[in-house]
Amino acid sequence: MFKDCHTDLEKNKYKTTKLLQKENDQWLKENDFEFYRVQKTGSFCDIFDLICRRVEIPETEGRFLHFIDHRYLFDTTRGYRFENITPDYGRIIKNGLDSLKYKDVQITNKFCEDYNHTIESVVLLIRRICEHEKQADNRHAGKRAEIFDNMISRPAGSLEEGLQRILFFHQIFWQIGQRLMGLGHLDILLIDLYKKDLEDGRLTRKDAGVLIGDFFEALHQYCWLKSNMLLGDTGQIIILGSRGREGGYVCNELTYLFIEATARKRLPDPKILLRVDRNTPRDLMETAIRCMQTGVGAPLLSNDDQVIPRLIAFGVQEEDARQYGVAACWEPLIPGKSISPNNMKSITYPKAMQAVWERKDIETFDTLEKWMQAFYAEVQKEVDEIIDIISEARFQYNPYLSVFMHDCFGRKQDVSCGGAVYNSYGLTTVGLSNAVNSILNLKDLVYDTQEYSLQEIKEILVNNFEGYDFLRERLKAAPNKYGMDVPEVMNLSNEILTRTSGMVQGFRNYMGGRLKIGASSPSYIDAAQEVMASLDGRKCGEAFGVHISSETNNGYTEIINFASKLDYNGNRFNGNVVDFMVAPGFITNNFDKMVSLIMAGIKIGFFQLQMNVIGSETLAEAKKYPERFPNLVVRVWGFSAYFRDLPEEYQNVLISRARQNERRN
Amino acid sequence: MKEEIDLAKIRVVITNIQRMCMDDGPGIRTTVFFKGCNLKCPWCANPENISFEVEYGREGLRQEKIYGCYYSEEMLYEELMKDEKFWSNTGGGITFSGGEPLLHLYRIQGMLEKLKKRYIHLAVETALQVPPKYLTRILTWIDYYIVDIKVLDRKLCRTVLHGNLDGYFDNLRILGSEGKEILFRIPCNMEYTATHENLERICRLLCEFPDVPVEIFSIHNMGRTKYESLGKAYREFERISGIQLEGIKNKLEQCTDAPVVIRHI
Repeated sequence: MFKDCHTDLEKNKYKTTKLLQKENDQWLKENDFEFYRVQKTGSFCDIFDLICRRVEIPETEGRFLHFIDHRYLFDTTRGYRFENITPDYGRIIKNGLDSLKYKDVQITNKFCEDYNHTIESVVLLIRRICEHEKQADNRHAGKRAEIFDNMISRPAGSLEEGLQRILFFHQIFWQIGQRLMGLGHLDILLIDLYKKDLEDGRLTRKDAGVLIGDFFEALHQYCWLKSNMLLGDTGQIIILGSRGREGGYVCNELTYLFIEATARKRLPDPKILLRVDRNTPRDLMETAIRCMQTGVGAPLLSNDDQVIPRLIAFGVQEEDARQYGVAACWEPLIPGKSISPNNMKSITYPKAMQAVWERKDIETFDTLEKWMQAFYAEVQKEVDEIIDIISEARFQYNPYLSVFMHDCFGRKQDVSCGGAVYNSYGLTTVGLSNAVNSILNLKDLVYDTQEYSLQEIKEILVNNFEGYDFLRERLKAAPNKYGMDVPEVMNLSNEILTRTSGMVQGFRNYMGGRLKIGASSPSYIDAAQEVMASLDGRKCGEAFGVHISSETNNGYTEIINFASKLDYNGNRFNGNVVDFMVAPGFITNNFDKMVSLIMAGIKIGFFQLQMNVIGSETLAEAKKYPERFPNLVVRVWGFSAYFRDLPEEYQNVLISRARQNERRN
Repeated sequence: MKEEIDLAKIRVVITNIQRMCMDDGPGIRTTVFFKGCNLKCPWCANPENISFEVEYGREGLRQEKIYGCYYSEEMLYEELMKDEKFWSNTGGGITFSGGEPLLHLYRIQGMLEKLKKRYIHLAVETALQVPPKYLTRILTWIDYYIVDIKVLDRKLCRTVLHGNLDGYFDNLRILGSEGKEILFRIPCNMEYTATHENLERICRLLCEFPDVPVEIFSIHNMGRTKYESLGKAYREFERISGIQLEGIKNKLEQCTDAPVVIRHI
């Protein structure tokens, strides 16, 4: 029996796709050879159809049905898979499935046929579920049969129906091996259904809260299967808040209800992103900060005043830009219109610095400018390598995804062949703070005071500061640092970012899409593992700086100022998140001022912001006695996770950042 | 290229400019700690701000720590203004603390005037035990006065704090007659400030200023590492418990119409 069971997870942490695939192959060979054969040789539609026929429908006591049968996962080795995107679930809220199909006369190519075939397969699965529910013996079954039956030819009629539809069509994405799937603007999408329920007396505000809580619990199921790099890294992100046609801020009762449910449930999943701007009402900000105060690391705030103009300047239609959402972490995209894999690779600045130190001609860099030239040349090499790889990527043919992506239907073109409206790719950058701090120190030690020669510095770094702990301490305590709003730091940070963005400017992928970069990346630990010591005082293998953060500078105002002065123009808007560590007491004692701080920060112009509200002592305790803190949730990158599920390195980074932050206060 | 500093323009010595302070007045504030104080409170939590000179201490085993940095009015203005937008959006501003800020502020009146022209809310956190001329010179610029109430017995104040209560009461009267906004702050310890006799005296003072809100807090031992760093003798005070603070609060509330708030540090 397949189940989302914690015991499974405790034993294995989570299974990598490869491992799961291997286990499944073995099981299929022995138990369902037909599927095994089709999986290896059949077309998308063949496999999809068979999946819809084969998946086992579980008995569910809960309100919502949401299941993934991991034995019948789509083979994901057939090409580059879509991930980090958000389908437009509005299509199946506002329509029955039947009406999404091409009429017979409209079918002019193979894609149209496959598209219809895919929908028919889903209808088949729905009918199987209806039959199953009719025979099931639990209190929700009868109603559920009706809800599923409605999906075939009617629009959703109630909030509950809407939520169940999203859960169902969402689960199919996981079933066919896609990852990091977002959920979209659910407050906007579902508000009419909610209002209708209220009007008809079917629901109270409180009932709706309970319903959303149940929806969250359903989404949180199969966390082990849905997770990408780390347990909890599922990308199931809900976007809240928006900008209206007239330019005003748009939110509604559901915006509040979704945030309240997040605070109440304290689950790592789903993730919440709240779009904000200078007109966001204060009581909504208060609700959001009260939610952050619980420690769940959500909502992530995204500043429309910064994001929307950048999207428009990049070529996104104004109407679409107003509807932006984000990929699994924070990289802006247009739900239902962008296939943007926004996190394809990461540019690692400290790796480029290492390459400079490894060069034989370092003695010839007698000015900082020459050193910088060499550095940029190495960044360029890294970028070129990345571009070589991503140029090869060809996406999997995917008529199911095409159902939810504009304008595949109109263009009669699969999403993998350029059927979507926006087809750009995204890169992230990591270690910018380490690079900036290293270069500032290099300037001081070698070029200004001439205390050390380049050769000496190189040896110190190669030897991992062996015997030079005093220098390392000094470097770490340097007066000017990344995150400070002083011109020298700002200019250098912006110079590196703009130079990098210039390097990717000419790129076009096979669908004509361009490349974007951003200044926050998930790989601050993984990418750092092999990289040698750097002149910011970081030892070999130690983690890089986390997103846009600094635990040593002068309070949150300074990092907000800094982030507001980073240049996000051109293609540099691919997620730029400020990451705060906040001591819980700090918010409790200064709640109103904290709200004012964030609201001021929005006006001043941070791009995005998230925070971990937790004390170092709690974290240290939880590391030592995980069994005492089974439900402690923390923010990692664009996701929250149970602290106990994190690898030790991630736990350590959080503990050390929390400690530094507390010292600062 | 290090910035060249024009020594003739140096006006003040500052140990710290703390941005995003939540506790020193309305809104989000930047607090400036001047180096130099005329009092010698035994419980002082900022011993680095007693001497008027730049001092050298230790940090860890090998590092030297310098307490104090020279500022011209221009340098200070530029540094402070970094958070201007946060002040305007949160109703905040700048708080001058120390040390005794009144002994420094008259030297930077040009900057105060400049700040006032930009409508920036200015506050001082002062013991107020200075000759009134120091207060009157800056009265026009400063909007908000956080005034310490310490030992109100003349003799004890002189012997223990090296203070002068004559100036204190004169200055309080000036603030009162000018209609300035005041907040009283009482650092509580059982040895000096929260003794039965002293609380009685505080009550009498509060009766004279019934509209002035009061903040009380237990003195803390967070200054310890700074004493050690400076090689100064450290005297440990017992913290006052929450229940004791509640008791003090109740007592004070009886002689003022304004709120008495316990600040948790």
